[in-house]
Amino acid sequence: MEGENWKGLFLGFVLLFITNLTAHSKELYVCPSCSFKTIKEALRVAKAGDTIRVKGGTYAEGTLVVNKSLSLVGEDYPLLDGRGKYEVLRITADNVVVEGFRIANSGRSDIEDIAGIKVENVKGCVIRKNILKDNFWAIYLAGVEECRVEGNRIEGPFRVGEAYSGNGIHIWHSKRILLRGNYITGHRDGIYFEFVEDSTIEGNVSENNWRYGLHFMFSHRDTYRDNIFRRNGVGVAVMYTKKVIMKGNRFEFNWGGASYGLLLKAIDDSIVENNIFYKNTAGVLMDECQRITIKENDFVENGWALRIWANSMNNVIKLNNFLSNTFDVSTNSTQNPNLIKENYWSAYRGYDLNGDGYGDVPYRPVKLFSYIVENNPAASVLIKSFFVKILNLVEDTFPVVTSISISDRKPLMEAVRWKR
Amino acid sequence: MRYLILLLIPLLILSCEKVVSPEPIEYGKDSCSFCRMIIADAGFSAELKTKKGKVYKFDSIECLAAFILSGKVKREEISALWVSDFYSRELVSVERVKFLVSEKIRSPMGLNISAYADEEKLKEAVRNFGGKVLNWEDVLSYVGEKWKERIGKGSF
Repeated sequence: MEGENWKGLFLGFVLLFITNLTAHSKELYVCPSCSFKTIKEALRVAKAGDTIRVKGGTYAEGTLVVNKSLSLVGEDYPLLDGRGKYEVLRITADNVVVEGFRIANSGRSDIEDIAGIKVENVKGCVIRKNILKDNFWAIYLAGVEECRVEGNRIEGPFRVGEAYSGNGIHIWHSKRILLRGNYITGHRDGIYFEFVEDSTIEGNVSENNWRYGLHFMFSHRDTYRDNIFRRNGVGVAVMYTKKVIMKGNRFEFNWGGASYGLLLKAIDDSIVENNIFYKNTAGVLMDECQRITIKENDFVENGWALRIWANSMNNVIKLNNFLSNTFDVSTNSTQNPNLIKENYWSAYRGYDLNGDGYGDVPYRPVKLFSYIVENNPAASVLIKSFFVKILNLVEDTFPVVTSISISDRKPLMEAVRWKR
Repeated sequence: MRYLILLLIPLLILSCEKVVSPEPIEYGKDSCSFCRMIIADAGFSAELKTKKGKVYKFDSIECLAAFILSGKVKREEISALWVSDFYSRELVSVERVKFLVSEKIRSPMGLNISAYADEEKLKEAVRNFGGKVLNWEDVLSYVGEKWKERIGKGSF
């Protein structure tokens, strides 16, 4: 009974609080025939808690600075045009909402990171359902906490080379950020995280960016899941980070000499699970990684499914499906201190006579030839040659030829059906 | 005819003694010899050439410093070091520049080191962005201190 009373009292307070807020917040309209003709004017008059509603049309007002906690809402996608000169929108107050704008043509600079939307040193912000086009940097968050960037469509200028395009969503020194459902293309790095902690990247599509789809550095305890990274110049690079969860993503069509689906460079204590690596030069490239679990992923039709350098230690690779890759695993050393077991290998030719679901002889996923290529990249021209066919045949018949220690002692006879 | 060939020999020898110059960096293609990142920003890149002529390229000045500190190439084997001038975006010998560490100038690997060949431009950068001016030896000890763990691992 007493509990009920408390609940009622609490509800009363909440209601009081809400009515109090609404009583003071106003709506300000901006359009040629509205009481405010320019957004600048409305921003000057508005108070914290207000909503500025901007009607469709083009607004080129230089840099708009939002220094009060208010909502800026576009109706029919009004265009904020930077005319190739200005940072378009700069947010310097906590709890600002920006929604429903087209933001285009920010300035460019060798010295400054000019952005379509820049948010600096604030707590709480929502950047939602905007369309950003041809900006130098598109959305740029620096020193912020608890911001949400959702449902934005970001198209860069598609020009390859430095000084033409910055990153699509660039986040630096921030905490507890959520990126969800954004589409990013035509920038340098689609999504870039540097010193960003306890954050989530979810359900985004990042494709045709000229360097990385996702670039991730010094960003601990983050999760990225259910994203698609496709046809980016190099792939996805996750570097110098501890405790990352990478789950349910697709890494696909990253072809090119030095390309890969996912580069893991100096990553510790992380999880790669339920991802699909499809048609990449290398699915996963691991350099100097420790204690990573790679579990229940599909590696399909890659040049190399997994390149794991011997400076990577104590990683576990299990219950993955390796399907029709040119090379399943390669490494640069005969010794490799990582555990590979209970995977399904479409190239496995062994039998399961005792019917326990595992092949009776180990599978050796590192071909002698792939080891040669790893140490002499130029040798890859021999890949379809008669010499290599003979080499593989000899190796299959007399496994002793291969001195490389990696083998899956319990290869699965059937593909893993992990939950999709 | 024979004399002509004899004349050519000294020329041939002389032509070997050419000035050491940096190999151009292909932005968006070349990757850093220390951190593997694709080099994208001409304001911060760097290069090392050994006496045997092997070239190492870097996306940032901190990666060049870390590479040297890690000892992959011995110091006596180094023929030349270049870093990008922050304003001209050209590779310049480390002996001809001063460095600035400034929070406001964000370098690709996060230690925020930039280089300046022109004293006036350096002053301008200090005025605009603040920070601390260093020479090359200072840069080496700064990176050595900040990245102690990473360099110790010998990350290649």
